[in-house]
Amino acid sequence: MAENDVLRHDAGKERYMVELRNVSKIYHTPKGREIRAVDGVTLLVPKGKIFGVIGSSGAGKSTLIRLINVLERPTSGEVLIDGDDLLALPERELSRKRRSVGMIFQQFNLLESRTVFGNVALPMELAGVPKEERVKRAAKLIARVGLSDRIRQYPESLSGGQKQRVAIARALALSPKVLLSDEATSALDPANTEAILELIRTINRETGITVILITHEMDVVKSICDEVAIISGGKLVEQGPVREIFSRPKTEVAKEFIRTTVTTKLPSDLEEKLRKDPDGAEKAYLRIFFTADSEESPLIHAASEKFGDLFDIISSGIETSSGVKFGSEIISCPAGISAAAVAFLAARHVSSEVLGYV
Amino acid sequence: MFSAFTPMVLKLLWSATLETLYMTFASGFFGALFGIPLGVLLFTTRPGQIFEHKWLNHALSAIVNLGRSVPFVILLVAIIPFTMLLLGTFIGTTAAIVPLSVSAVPLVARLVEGALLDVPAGLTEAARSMGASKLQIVWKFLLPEATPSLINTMTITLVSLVNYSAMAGTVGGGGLGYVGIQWGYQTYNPPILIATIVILVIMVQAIQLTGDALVAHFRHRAR
Ligand SMILES: Nc1ncnc2c1ncn2[C@@H]1O[C@H](COP(=O)(O)OP(=O)(O)OP(=O)(O)O)[C@@H](O)[C@H]1O
Ligand SMILES: [Mg+2]
Repeated sequence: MAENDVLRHDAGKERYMVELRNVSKIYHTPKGREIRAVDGVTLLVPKGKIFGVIGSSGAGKSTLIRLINVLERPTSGEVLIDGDDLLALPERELSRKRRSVGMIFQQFNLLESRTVFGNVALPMELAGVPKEERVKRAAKLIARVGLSDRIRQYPESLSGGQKQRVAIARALALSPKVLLSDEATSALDPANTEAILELIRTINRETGITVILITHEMDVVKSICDEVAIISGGKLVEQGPVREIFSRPKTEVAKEFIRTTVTTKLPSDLEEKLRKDPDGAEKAYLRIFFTADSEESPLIHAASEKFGDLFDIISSGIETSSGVKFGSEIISCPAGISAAAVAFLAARHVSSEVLGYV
Repeated sequence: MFSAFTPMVLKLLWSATLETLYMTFASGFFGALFGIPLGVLLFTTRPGQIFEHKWLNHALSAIVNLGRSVPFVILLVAIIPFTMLLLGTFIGTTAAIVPLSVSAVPLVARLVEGALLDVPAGLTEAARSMGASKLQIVWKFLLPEATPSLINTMTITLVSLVNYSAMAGTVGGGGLGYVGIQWGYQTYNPPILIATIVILVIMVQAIQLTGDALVAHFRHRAR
């Protein structure tokens, strides 16, 4: 039994960089009410992967990520980084251990009193890395994130995207095994978001660093994550490879997040004409959602067979993520059969919503 | 009117100016020496901060409030036994530095606390994530980031001290306040009264402008 445990533990050490086992974090409001910010979450993050954690506002994402480097101590549960039990360490050693976990934030959290160089060199300064090495490594990292020409400037003069690059260079300064990102792209415009995600992906590929990325945007997960966990109300509701989640979302929360990434827009002239009231309407407009299970053409085919050639495709957006096809489409049908159509689609695991009537 | 400014009066005004500067900056120094650490403690013992400590925070806060609420004129008199104990006298500019410093400490402490409160909380978070020790968080993060505000703090403090030193002067402290009262009021001589006011105004302006210039130098942010 004991031997078995040792073996199991070693196996874990091989595979997982971060292991959260049944962790909970309970806050108490001043009035004595309990807030279960994180509630019995077990999260196993394989080495070298980009792992996404998605959830809506207040779901407990930030709390969860802060448990990983023990910025917050869990109320219960275990936290292991590369097999080391962080909760067993005294504060001093915990500080050292945190050097193997870099972190970036939505608000960048750069020091305004230090230049780009000064910011990137800071973690090495704290760790007592000799000056010469500090200078060399900081310059290399700054070049790596493409900011060599800004090395002597202060963060104030940088754009949001550039600030996040500095923060990434700083987070990598002590060659961590894990990079934690708490909504690192949420304050950036789409172009910068894409560039920062691209940078994280390349760094992950080049160095094999394990990345845990917190977000409330499914687009972020779709574009770089290998695996994703969905949390809601502090609980982990679904977890798996991104392609699996996209093709076979089990929970309503997961489906909802997927919808947000593929919402095909109504043509604007049509949008103005739509009414909520079906009375006397001629046509109904529906938005339907596909995943791998529910391929588009056979579906429309089946629908046409059942209802006659009554469906028109107004606009369609199909996307691919990790080789999985999914998307949404706006279709129209006679107003009278819209309820039947929704039921028909639902029976085939295709969710749909009536947008309005004309 | 200019006949009032005999060489003797000019000499008097000059030495009074030096005395005021001495009292202001010496007590400013002690105010910073004790006030900044106290302010750091006030901030870092607050809930959620690195040295969170409820009752210590309450105790320090109460002491600071006490210091801030005693009117300076009363402090000036009330502190005489302490000054005697410390210096053996309570007369003279050096003796005046004691009550001035004592009044500066709580002012500096509160202003420093405020300056640190303005440092974004995310910075402490980032510092901890880098494995910074608590002292490193204070030295390498909080104080450098608050430097412009800390300079502002000292500007405000020094300007207050110029003011208070004039009051201290009336209780045998010397300086421009003493001259103003003695020559401008008791032996009614408006030109000298006005001269002391002008010098005090120039002094305050100079402190403010220097402080602002230093803040501008240290502030690398567009706000
Ligand atoms: N220090 C704290 N004290 C009390 N409650 C807290 C504390 N930190 C977080 N919470 C609560 O825990 C819950 C989860 O918060 P958390 O910040 O982890 O959410 P989140 O998913 O990161 O949300 P967002 O997307 O808005 O950042 C919320 O209800 C929040 O109010
Ligand atoms: Mg958050």
